[in-house]
Amino acid sequence: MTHKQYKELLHLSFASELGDEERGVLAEHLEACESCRREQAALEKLHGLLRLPGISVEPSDELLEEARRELRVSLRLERSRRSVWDRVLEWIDAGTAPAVRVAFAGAAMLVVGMGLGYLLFVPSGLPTQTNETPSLAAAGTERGMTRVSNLHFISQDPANERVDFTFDLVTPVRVQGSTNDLAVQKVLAQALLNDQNPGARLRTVSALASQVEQTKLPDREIKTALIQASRVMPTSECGRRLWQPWRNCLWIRISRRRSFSF
Amino acid sequence: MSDKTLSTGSEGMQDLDLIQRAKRGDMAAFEQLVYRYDKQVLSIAARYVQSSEDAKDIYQEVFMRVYRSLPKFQLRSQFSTWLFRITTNVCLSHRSRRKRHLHTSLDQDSSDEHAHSLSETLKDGTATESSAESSETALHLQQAVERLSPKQKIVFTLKHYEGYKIREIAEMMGCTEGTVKRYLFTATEKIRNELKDFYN
Repeated sequence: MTHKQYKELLHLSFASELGDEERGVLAEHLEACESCRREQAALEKLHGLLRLPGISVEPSDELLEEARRELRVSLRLERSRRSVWDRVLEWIDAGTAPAVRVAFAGAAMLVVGMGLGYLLFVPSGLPTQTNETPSLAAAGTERGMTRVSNLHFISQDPANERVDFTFDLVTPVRVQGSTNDLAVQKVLAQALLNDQNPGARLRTVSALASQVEQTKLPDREIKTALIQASRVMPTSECGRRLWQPWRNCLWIRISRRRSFSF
Repeated sequence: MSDKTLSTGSEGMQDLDLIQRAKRGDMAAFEQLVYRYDKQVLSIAARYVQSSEDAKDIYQEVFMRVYRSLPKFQLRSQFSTWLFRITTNVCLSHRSRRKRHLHTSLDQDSSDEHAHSLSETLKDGTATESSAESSETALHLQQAVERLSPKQKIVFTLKHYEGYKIREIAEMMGCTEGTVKRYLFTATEKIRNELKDFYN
């Protein structure tokens, strides 16, 4: 064993960290080594200083009580800041088995996936909510030449000259009427859902929304079309045009209710 | 100097019950858990920073970390070991209020700083009647301890002021016993050099 190692043993002996065997080895060495005895004396003085009163002071009970009081306040604040969602996550994390957590995660992903699927796919290919052809008897209409488009062959048999196909029969119609007319509104509602031109859809929103009467909610079919349009066209302009009259309508209803109560 | 150890088996069982209740949101259980160990935490903090305000800061930071991390505590180690590991980490990363203040007021004298913290420490404790000689020794010793590196300082504090075993300090700090011995040896040598003139 070197002097350095004996020195380390000396330090450990003052730290009360020596086993019986090591203590014996050190004692034997100290008897024979003058230099290590001087080292021992120096360390004894140092550790004597560490034992002087006032060197190591226990914190007072008052300080402990003060610290506890401050901690209670901080914990109360922390609890009030934590959201319900955090608590749900903690509950899942702390109180459930890993298999249950996996099931939770799977269910959450399924819900998110269904939501995304609905938003991405349903509105874009959404067919018109009604097959009813709007009656435009009250409006002045002018029909153009009917055209055949979007022809699709299902089957064709040259042997017996039979064919099976589908097509769109498109008749251009010009309408001169009022946007207050329910039939006109229904045509615009169908266009809102089916027209390929986004500019035309936006103008349709504008026409429909500006004519929504403030005293009553519009027809269910038109209302559905407006709601679906808000999903398909989430632009700020569309949103503003759509929600302004609805908001006004709601405000009038609330105001009326208030006026009755006075 | 006190002689403390980490919790025993039966205390560990009591901790387990309190931890499980605290994890379910039982604040009374959490408070009981805090009160079982908070005096030791405050003691380590006060002796490490030598200032009651800084000690309270450390105390609060430790138990707020425990509160936030308790749901993730897996019971793989004893609660006391985990708690004191957090305590040593918070101590090591703590920047004292005085030092923070010194950054903004450059004209403050560092010797005033030490004198202030000592008087503050003495005010908090039971040794207000200590002699002028031991107060002076305490001041010199405190200055020497202040000049240690954070890791040397925490090891020195835990060993000589708190009375923990080297094995326990190693557990708290997440390092080997050999590393703790090295920190302790270096810290003692540095302090001895600082105080050489004083006690010869």
